Amino acid sequence: MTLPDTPLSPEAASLLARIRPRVTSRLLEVNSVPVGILLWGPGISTPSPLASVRLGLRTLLRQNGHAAVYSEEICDSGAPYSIRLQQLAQAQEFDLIVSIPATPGAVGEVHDFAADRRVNAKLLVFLNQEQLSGYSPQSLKAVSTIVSCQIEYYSCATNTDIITQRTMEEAQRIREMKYILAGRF
Amino acid sequence: MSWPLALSQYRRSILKTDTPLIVLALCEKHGLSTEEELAKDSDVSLPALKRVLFDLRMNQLIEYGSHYLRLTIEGSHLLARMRLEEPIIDCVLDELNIGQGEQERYRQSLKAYRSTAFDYYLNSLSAMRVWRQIVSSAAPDASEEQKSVHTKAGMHAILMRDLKSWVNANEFTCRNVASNDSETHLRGILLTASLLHDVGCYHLADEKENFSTNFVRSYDRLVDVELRRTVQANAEEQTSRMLPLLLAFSSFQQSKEPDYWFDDWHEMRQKWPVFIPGRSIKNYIRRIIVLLREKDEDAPEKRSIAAPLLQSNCWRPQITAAVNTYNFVEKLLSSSSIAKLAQMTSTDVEPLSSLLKEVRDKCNELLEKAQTQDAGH
Repeated sequence: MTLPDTPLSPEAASLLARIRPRVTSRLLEVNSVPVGILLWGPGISTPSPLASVRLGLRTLLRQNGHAAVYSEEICDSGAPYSIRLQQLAQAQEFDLIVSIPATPGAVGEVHDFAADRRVNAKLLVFLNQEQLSGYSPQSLKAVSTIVSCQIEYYSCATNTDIITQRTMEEAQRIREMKYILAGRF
Repeated sequence: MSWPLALSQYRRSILKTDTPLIVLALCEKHGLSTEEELAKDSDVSLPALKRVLFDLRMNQLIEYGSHYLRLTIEGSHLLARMRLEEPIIDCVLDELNIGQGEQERYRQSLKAYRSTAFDYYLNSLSAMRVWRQIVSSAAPDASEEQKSVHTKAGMHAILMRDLKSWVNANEFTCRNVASNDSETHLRGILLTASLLHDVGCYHLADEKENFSTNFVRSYDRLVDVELRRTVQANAEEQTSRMLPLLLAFSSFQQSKEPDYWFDDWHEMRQKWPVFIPGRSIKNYIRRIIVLLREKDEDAPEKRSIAAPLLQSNCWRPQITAAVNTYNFVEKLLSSSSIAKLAQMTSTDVEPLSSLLKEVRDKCNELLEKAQTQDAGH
């Protein structure tokens, strides 16, 4: 990139020379902080196009150093606890829960957690704009605030770029916050 | 604070590239700054900088005033977390030409000043930077070396003035400084920086006198130590030119609430005179002083204190020292205890006791001599 050749003042040049190496080293530390991300959505064997979106997200997040897992990967079918209880326990331990319900019925499942104060601030829910009628999406929208579950809308099942983009942004934001506050509390 | 609340206030990711942190660091170094100044010093184009500043503002790391932008306390915490506060402070100290031995004490004190009175710290850095700009335009005929001496001496005086005000005006702050060492460092700096070789002289009753004395001493030190060969003009002649300007600027700056003076400064810059080569530099500086004093209308008292100095256009530290000694003796004679005298002279009891012991010994010595002489006659 060619920039206009305006020389820095000696004071500015001195400051930049001092801080640039430190900034680079700090940013390496920041961007190695892993964020625990739980991915909820259609299973890999389902015909929904969102299944591949969910899988792509898992790959991309892992490539970026995050601990991204499907909920079903860590559920123990032999355990004496219900799936719901296991999911709640997982949700409490992870930093971010990305929910991509593929059907209007699946949106209902999100309700279980959207109203639960222990975990709802970690929820990032993606809803299909074509399926907004009905009680479930409407009431989810009603419980969404800046400090509780966040809801994002994608235009249709074949135009889901926003899911990847928002999830990556959110993971990065949490990563930075974890570094700045020296961990999560 | 809860995690969701903390996260809700950190709305944009800003640590993917180094630009936001560099802009934040420059912002702190400038004290109070403008978008144009930041663009110039950060090597970032103005449109790109505006995007960065928008994100920083969204995260509440900077805030805007009428003519300036500055770091918030959250911004200062972020820089501290990134361990960038020390390099910034080191850059400030580099510009003051402080010896290596003194640097560590200054560093500790500035860190304490930053962590306990961040707004004032930013104002100090800003005043120092504006003084550099004033010197640059008010001494257009001076060589770079001369400008450097004017700048450093003034910046040093401004920093000392503000550190001293911080300690004196807010004892609570000083008591709450993270470590006792910082306070000791700070007191050590205040004593050494007085350059008057005793405790009492730095605690002059008039802040302006302290400030002026410190400027002259800083100036002398710089000329003697660093630039004797390159600065041809006699130090006294130079200070007589720059001191009234520094006093007028200090008076103008201190007549306003922190930050607000910077707004006035920007408005004033529009009226700043243009130097015409061949005209008298003295008259040119006088016009700037008048401009600064016009803006100082909210502080008649401060102006009246500075008035004799401004009118005389010349500063003699010896005269101040003599006047101060007379004041000190008056206070000494009317004091009922050392604690009372310490209070009246804004001095600590311990150094004051040492000073009084020295005075007592000297008095005894002189009286004994006088008695011996009387007996001889």
